[in-house]
Amino acid sequence: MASGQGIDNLKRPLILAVDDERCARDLISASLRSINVELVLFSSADGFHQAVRAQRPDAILLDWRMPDASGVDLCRELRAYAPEVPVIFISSESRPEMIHEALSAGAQLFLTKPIAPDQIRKNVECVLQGSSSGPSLP
Amino acid sequence: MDSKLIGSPSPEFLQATLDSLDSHIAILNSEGVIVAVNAAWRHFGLQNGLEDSIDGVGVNYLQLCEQAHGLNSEEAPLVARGLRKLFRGDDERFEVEYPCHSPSEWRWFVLRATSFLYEDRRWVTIAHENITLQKETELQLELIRQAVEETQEGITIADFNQPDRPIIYVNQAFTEITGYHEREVLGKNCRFLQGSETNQESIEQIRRALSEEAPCRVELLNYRKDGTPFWNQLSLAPLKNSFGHVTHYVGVQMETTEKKMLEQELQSLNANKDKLFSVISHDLKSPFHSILGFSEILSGDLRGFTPEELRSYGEHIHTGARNLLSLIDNLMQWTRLQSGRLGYAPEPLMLADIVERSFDLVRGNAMRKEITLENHLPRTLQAFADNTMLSLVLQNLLSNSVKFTHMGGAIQVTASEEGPWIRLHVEDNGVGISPERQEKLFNLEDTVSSLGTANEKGTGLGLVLCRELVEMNGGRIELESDAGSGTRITLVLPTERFQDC
Repeated sequence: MASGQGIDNLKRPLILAVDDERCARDLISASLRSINVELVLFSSADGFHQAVRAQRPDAILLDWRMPDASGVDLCRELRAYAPEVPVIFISSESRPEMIHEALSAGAQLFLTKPIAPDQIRKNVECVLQGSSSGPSLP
Repeated sequence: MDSKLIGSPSPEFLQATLDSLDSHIAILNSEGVIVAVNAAWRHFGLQNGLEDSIDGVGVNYLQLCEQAHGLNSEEAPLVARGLRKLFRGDDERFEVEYPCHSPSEWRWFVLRATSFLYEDRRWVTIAHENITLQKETELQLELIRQAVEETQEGITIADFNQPDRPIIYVNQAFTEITGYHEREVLGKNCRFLQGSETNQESIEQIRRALSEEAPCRVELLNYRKDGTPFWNQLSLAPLKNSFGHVTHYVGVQMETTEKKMLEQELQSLNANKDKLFSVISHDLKSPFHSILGFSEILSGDLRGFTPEELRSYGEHIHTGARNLLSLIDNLMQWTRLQSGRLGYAPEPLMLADIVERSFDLVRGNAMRKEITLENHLPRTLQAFADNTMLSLVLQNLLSNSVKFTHMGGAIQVTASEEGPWIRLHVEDNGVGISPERQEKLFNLEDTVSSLGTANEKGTGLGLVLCRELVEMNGGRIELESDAGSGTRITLVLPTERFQDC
C-alpha cells in the first residue's frame, strides 16, 4: 500500500479500486500513473470496507462482478457509512437495468469495458474535481 | 253481418272462399275427378301453360297421377297411392313434398290431400302450397349443420339462460379433441375441461366476457378425458335473439398444443441466445479491455513505467488475445453445432492418440505452471465417436484442468470399461469446484466463468459445448469435485455404434 503523503507534502487524492482480474487492476494502475493520485488496489472484497473506513478515499473504482462479492452490494454497504465517497463502476456488461441499479445504489459513474486508459483517467479526474472532500488536482 | 249466409253458404260464397286462399286447391270426387278448383289453382295452371282440359274441372286427377311420366314422374305415383288410400278410407290425409322448378325459378311445393265425407261419399281436397322459402331455409340450415359438424375445430353451444349454462351441443371434432362422448358432456358446464394447471388469467378473462355478454378469445390449458393436458385456443361469442338478448354462447376450440410447444421451444432458444450474447459480450469485452488498454499505454509515454511493468503489460495483451481466440473457436463450434452444421461422423477412435494430441495443445501452458500431464490409457482402447467433437471436448477439459491446477500439480487421463461403455476420466488436483457451481457449469442459462489459479480467464461456454458434444455422440458427462482438492470429469462414451432412438 502506498503512503498517504505525497512528495510535495500535499495530501494526494486517494483512490481505492477493487477488481478480481490482475490485468484490470494493472490497467487501472497504468491509466492513473500520469496523475498525482495514490492508488490502493484490492483483488477481492476482503478487507475493502475496513480500508474505506480507515482511509476515507476520495474515489472508489468497483468491478461489477467478483467471485466473492457483487460490486453493487459493496456500493450499497459503503453508502451507509461513507455516503460522500464517489463510486465509479467499471463493468463488461452494460444492461440498462444494471446501470439503473448502480446509480440507485449511489454510484456516480458507470463505465463499460473496453475502456481506454485515457478515459479511465479523465473520469477519475472529473469525479475528484466534483468531490467535496477531495483537494483539487495539480 | 248476415248470420244466415254463414249458416247455409251459397255455391258462389263457397267458391269465393276457396278463391281467397293462396294455396292451389282442387276438390276431387270419389272417382278422383276434379269437381272444383280455386282461382290460385287455375292461375297456376295457366301460368305454367296448362289447359283446363289437362288439369281443370272434369279431369281425372287420380288417373293423371297414375299415368304421369316425365315431369314429377317420381312423386305422381306416390300421390296416386295416397289418394287411393284416402278414397278407401284407410287414411284421412297425406302430404308429399316435390320440386317443381320452372326454367327461371327454383321452386318447391307441398301437396296436402285431406278426405271428407259428404252425402255418404268420400271426397278429397288437394292443396298445393309453395314452400320454396321454407325449403331454401332448410337446405341452408342443413349446410350450416354439416359445416359445424364436419369442421376440424371443436364447437360447443351452451345455453346462456339455464342455471350453470349447460352445453346443449358439441360437434364431432370436440369429441375427438377431448375424448369425451357427446352424452357425457351435454347438460354440463364446460369447466370440466379445466384442471390443476389451467391458467387462471384465461379463466378470469372468460368469466369477465360472460358477465359483460361480450365475445372473447383466450388460450388455455385444458384436459382430455384421459387426463392428458392440451392447449386450447378458445373463441367465445354470444348468440342473441331478435330482441337482442343473449340466449346462447358458441365456443370454437382449436387445439394449439403443438404450436404452444414450438413457442416454448422458441422462447427457450431465444433465452439461450440472449444468454449466449451476454456471455459473449462479457467474455469478449474483457480481453479487448486488456488488449486495447495496454496497447494504448505501450504506444504512449513510457517514462515512469519499469521494464517489469511493461513486460507484464505485454503478457496481458498476449493472454487477452489468446483468450479471445479460444472463445471465438468455441463459439464457432457451438454455433455450427446448434445449426446442425457440425457434421457427426462417428468412427472407432484410438483414445490414447486423441488424448496425446490434446495434451500437445495445452502442454505450453501446463509447462509454464509446471503441471505434469499423464496419459494412462491402454494403446488399444477404442471408443465409437466423432473425432473432431471428442478432440474439442478433451481440449476444453484439459485447458480447464490446466487453468484450475496450481503450480506443480498433475493432470491424469485414465479409463475403465463398463459393458458397452468406456469411462474416460480427466482428473486434476487443482482448486476443485464448489457444489453450487457444479450445478451451473453445464447449462448455458447459468453459465459462470471463474479465473484460473494464475488468473486465467475462461469462457462460460466451454463446458456447455462439451456436454452438447458428448450427448450428440450418445454419451454423457459426469463431474465429481471437492472444492480445494481437485476435479474429476468423466466422459461416458459408447464403444459401439450409438443407436439414436
